[in-house]
Amino acid sequence: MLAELWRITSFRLTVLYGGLFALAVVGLLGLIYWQTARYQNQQVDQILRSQAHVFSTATPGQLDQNIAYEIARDVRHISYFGVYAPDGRALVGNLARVPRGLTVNGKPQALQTEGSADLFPQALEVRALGQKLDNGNVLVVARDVALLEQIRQSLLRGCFLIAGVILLLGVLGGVFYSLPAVRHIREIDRAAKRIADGDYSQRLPLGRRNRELDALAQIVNAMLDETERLMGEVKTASDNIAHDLRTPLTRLRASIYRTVQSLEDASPHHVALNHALTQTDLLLTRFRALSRISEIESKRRRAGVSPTPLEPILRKLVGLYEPLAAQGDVRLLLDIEATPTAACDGELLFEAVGNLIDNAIKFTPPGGTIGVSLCSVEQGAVIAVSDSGPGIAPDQRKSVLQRFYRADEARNVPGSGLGLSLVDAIARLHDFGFVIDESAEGGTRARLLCWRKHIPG
Amino acid sequence: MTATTTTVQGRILVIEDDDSTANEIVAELAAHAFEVDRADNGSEGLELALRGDYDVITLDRMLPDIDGLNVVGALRAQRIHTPVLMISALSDVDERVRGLRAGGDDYLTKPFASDEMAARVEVLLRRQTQSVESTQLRVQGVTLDRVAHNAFYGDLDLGLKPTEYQLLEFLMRNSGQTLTRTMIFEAVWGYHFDPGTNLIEVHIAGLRKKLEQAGCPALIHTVRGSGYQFGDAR
Repeated sequence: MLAELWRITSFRLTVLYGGLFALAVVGLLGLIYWQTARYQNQQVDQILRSQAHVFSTATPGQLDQNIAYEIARDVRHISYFGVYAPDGRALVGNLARVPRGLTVNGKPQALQTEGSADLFPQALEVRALGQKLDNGNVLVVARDVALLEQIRQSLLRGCFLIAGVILLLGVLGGVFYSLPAVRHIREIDRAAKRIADGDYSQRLPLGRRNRELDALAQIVNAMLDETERLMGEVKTASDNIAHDLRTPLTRLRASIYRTVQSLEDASPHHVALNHALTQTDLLLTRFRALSRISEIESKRRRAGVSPTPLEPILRKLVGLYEPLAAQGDVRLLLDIEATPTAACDGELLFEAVGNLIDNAIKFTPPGGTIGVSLCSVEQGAVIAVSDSGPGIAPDQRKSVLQRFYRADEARNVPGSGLGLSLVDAIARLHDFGFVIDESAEGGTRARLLCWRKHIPG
Repeated sequence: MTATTTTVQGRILVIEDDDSTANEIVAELAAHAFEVDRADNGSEGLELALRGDYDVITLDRMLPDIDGLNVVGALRAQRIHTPVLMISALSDVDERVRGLRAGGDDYLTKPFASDEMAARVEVLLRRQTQSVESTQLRVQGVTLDRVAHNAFYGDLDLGLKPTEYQLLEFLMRNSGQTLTRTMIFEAVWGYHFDPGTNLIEVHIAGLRKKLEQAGCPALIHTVRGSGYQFGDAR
């Protein structure tokens, strides 16, 4: 789902913008903090310098008084003062000693409070100034800048909070805007699979919000219209040929037939005319098969589909084809593992499996075996017809479904090359799977997977 | 089937709007010694049919004025039970079912072989004149026990399998008549597609073998280019 969302541009953009905005906000708050800190430090430094100036210019007596006064005045306890003799002894003030790390150079500086925690019990950060007095003593003025730290922390908290909220809103907004697109893409995916499976009447669905996707879908749909039209034309042309030629062929056959009937029994024309009759019958059979396929293909409704028990159909088929198999010295075995039903048109399924068996008989050499089996898997029933014939090479398994296709090895076997196309057409009509692979004996195994490949709707 | 038949087999009404198809039907039926009338639209056809003196009617499903289904419906409503062979370009199974449900007795898809059409007309004609189904059927020494589904030649049980019995029964019930492969396939197996040339042939061969083993003379004849016939033509 997330991977799917990530493919959607609007989702990625929303998240990206959310991230960028969050960064910008963090940057802005950082800048505010930096500016505030600088200003604050300048202020503090200013105070420190002016205090140092006042103290350093005062007489020693005044200095003591001044410091005592300042300490008394500092109700917030943020100011620290100290005057130390050259040997480091504290003379006056509220700092017991010179804080460690303080450079006595008359310049304000930040002071680490570690190691001097006893001096600044409450402070987190301190700015201090050390200055040598004219009499050789050292003056230290320091000021707690805890306020700065507080500002920093609240800014930091604000940063995380705001960044989090922005990112969350970004992701939510992205999901909100992208979900229809994800759904749309799923629908397109479904439709495309159906089209790839040969249902050229399908079109890619149009959404309501995704303009780019719709534009693309419309282009593809226009392409499909054209493809369908062209395929329809090709099919119609071949169907029409088949249909239009059937009538004159039927009449041709009728006149040959009548001529044969009117011949004297001893007539020498019998052989030639009977041959003509056989050939005409062959032609008619092919045209009939061709028309039958197009008839099945054009059958879009499913009126004939109802739950049908498959076992009786297979039993009947094996009974029907057994003599034909026996004639070719081929054993026809029926293996019923389960007795499932399938939602199908029983008559068409009979025709399909009949064609599979017929095909298997044609290609199985004498002494061979054909197995017709029925079993049940999780999704539904599986009908398999396997033979011990030469099999179909993997690269030809798809081609054999084409009309009139004959595998190279099959050129001298009688038949129209339409049998498997017919099975395929019937499988498609039911939306069943039709799979050709290799049987255990190395021959062909053709399976009908009797459940709907696509979820309806 | 021999051309020497001179007696009129029966009167047929052909309701068909397409001239060339109609000519073909009329010619073929006349060759089979039928007396044929033709109507080229539904209302005229219905009027002729309502007189009721025809033995079989062939009816095009798609007529310019009335749907073929309605013609049959009207006939049956008037209690006229002349057998009707529906002829239609609609080959769909559902269309066949609709045609038969409306009261048609048989259904043939265009384009058709005219001998197949004639064979079907003859079977319909015979079906009408056939007596009530008896428990025994005997033709030229072969007896069918229609209760036990057994067949005998003389006293000898032929030992037929169920399918073989059904096949023989269909052939014997229509003895002396040409039955096409499609008709056999429809009647014995109940399916309506082209079974191919060999499929029925091997079943017939099996049946012939059993009859021959029982010492029965060759009774199932192959009618070249058409189908099979049990016994001699009458």
